[in-house]
Formats: sequence, structure tokens, C-alpha cells
Amino acid sequence: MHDHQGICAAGGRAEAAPAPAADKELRLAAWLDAHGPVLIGFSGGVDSAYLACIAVDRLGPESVLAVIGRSPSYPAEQWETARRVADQFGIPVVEIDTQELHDPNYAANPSNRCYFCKTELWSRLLPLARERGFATVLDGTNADDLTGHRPGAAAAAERGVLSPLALLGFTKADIRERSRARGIPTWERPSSPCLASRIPYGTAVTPERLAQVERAEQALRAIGVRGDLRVRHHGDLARVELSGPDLDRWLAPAEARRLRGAIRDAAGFDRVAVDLRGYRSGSLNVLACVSAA
Amino acid sequence: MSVTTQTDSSARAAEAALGALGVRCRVEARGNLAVVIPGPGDRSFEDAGARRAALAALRAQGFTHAAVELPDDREPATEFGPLAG
Repeated sequence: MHDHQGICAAGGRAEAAPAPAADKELRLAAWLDAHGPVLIGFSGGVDSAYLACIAVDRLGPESVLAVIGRSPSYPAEQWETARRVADQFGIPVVEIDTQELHDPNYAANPSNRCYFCKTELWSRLLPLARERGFATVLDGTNADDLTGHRPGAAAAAERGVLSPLALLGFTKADIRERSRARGIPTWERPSSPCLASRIPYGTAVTPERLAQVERAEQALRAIGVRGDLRVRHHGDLARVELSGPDLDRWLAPAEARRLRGAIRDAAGFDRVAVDLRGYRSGSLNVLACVSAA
Repeated sequence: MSVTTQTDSSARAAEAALGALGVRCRVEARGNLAVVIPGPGDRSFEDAGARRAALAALRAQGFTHAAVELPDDREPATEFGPLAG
């Protein structure tokens, strides 16, 4: 039973129903009004694309700057998406090179690798924000990101980077829903973390390994793999995580041959294996016992 | 027990567990990852139910991840002995 405020009464204890995504977007607009002008760490992923679009719509392009941090760990496909979204929605963009691979703390690939990556990113974006007169620096962290193993969030918090989507309770589903409503093409894109996420903790992150997994994933997209996809680097072996429903297709002999050939030819892995469970966010965290299985 | 011996015994136990499901294969243990190398012509893993059963069996052996290796058509097929049990 619901009262007029949408509160659900169950067993005599009232529980608030989650706010609709559209309501959260209204609060986001008000929040941006109070915190602008804003500089946004912009990867072209679902979250930062949505945030940047809303910010420009609300504050105007003169009060928003989206900054892309480029490095060998940043997928080329995602850069293309970022530029496309920026062009479509009139988002001012600056690109900077980040040097996280030159940090031995990062390159060693510990389980808190993301902390060093984000430290490098924000160490370049914060001075840029000051120089250009942007009062507030934002990232696209959402409420779902607050669970799980997220050392990058600590680096952001230490430097005063704000995460309005998380603050206002936006889930990934909310962001996809509102992105779709606004015609932002990233609404249905799979999640897209950096390429270093394909390399198991403890195995050094090198430009060569990053390029290898990127070429492997590009080759699989070219032969028709859709949905969530990760090629995890295990030295001589590529472990391919596909969307669950795609496993039946790609494990059939003819398609398996195509998949194996594509990875071998594009990325040079001697061996290719398909993960039996399929794509899992944070898979390497589980493999390294950083998170529970 | 040395790490290598423990790894070998995990792999052999995993092979036996999968063999009990009717899957002819070798298992290569890479830490928490089991790389399953199917026998010639084995198509067990095309079936979702078989994958679930295999995953459960491998998880029971302590593996958190399992992947089935895709055969290299350019190399001769690996010979496997009879299934255990």
C-alpha cells in the first residue's frame, strides 16, 4: 500500500521508494548550479558522458570543460566515442597525456593500481582547473561504484574531486535511462574500464601488453562479438570473457575457430581460452582474492 | 607440500571431478584459474548446463575461475587416456 508521497507501508514500517531517475536529474541540475563552473574528468564512458551532457545543458558550454586523459591504457574505441559525444552535444574538450605507466607503483600492477592511476590523472587536472578558473572538479563515479573494490575513488576524495552522480544516488540503471531519454548514444554501451583491467594483479602493466589486449578485443568486435567483452592477459594465454548468452554461439566449433584465429592473428597469443562463466565485472579482483567470488 | 605438487594435485583432482561428469579433458592449474583442455572432439562445453556443472565441480576443487581452451587446428590433437572411474 502506498500513501500519496509514494511511501510503501509494509508490516507497519514505512520504507521510502527510490526516487525516479528523472527526479534525481532535477537535483543534479540544481547541484550543478550551486557548484559551477565545472571541470569534468571525461572518459567517454556512460557515466562521464551523461554528466558532461547535463552540465553543458544546465550551465552552458562556457562553464564546463571536459578533460580526456590519454595514455596507452585508454582504449582507442572509447576515445572515439568521447569525441563523438562531445561533438554531438557541444561539450568543450581538452586532451592531456597522462604518464601513469612511468610510475613504478602503477606499473607493478598492485591491487590498488587504480589509486596511482587516478592520482596521476587528478594531479594533472586540478592545476588545469585552477589555471582555467574552474571552481569544481568532478568525476563520473556513480552510486553503484561505492561498493566493491574501488581504490581510485580514494585518490579522488583525497584531492577534493566531487562525484555528484554518486552523491545524488544515481545508479548505473538511472544513468542509462536518463541518457537514453536525452539521446546520448552511450546509454547502451557496455561498461568500459581501462585496458590495465585486463592484466592480472602482479603482472606488470606495459604498453605492449595493453596493446595486445586492445588488439585482441578489437579483432573480436570485428568478427561480431557484441555486448560485454574482456580479453584477460595470462602471459601466453588469452582468457576471453563474453556475455553469458553469447557463450553457446562462440563455443560452437566453427565460431570457436574464428574467435581463436582472430585473437592469434591480431594479438599473437599462442593460446586462447573462453571463460566458462562469462563476463564478470571485477573478475581479476576475485582471481587475486581481493574480492569474494 | 610444495606449490608445484599442490598445483598438480589440484589439477588431477579437477580432471577426476570433470571425468565424473563425462568430460574428457586435462586441467592446467594457474593459481585460482583452471584451464580446461578438452579431449579430441569433446563438445561438452557447448551446453550451458554442462558448463554450470563443470564450474560447480571446479569451484569445489578451489578454483575461482575456469576457462576452456579452444583447440589449435594447426597442431595434432592431444591424446587422452580413458576416463577415470
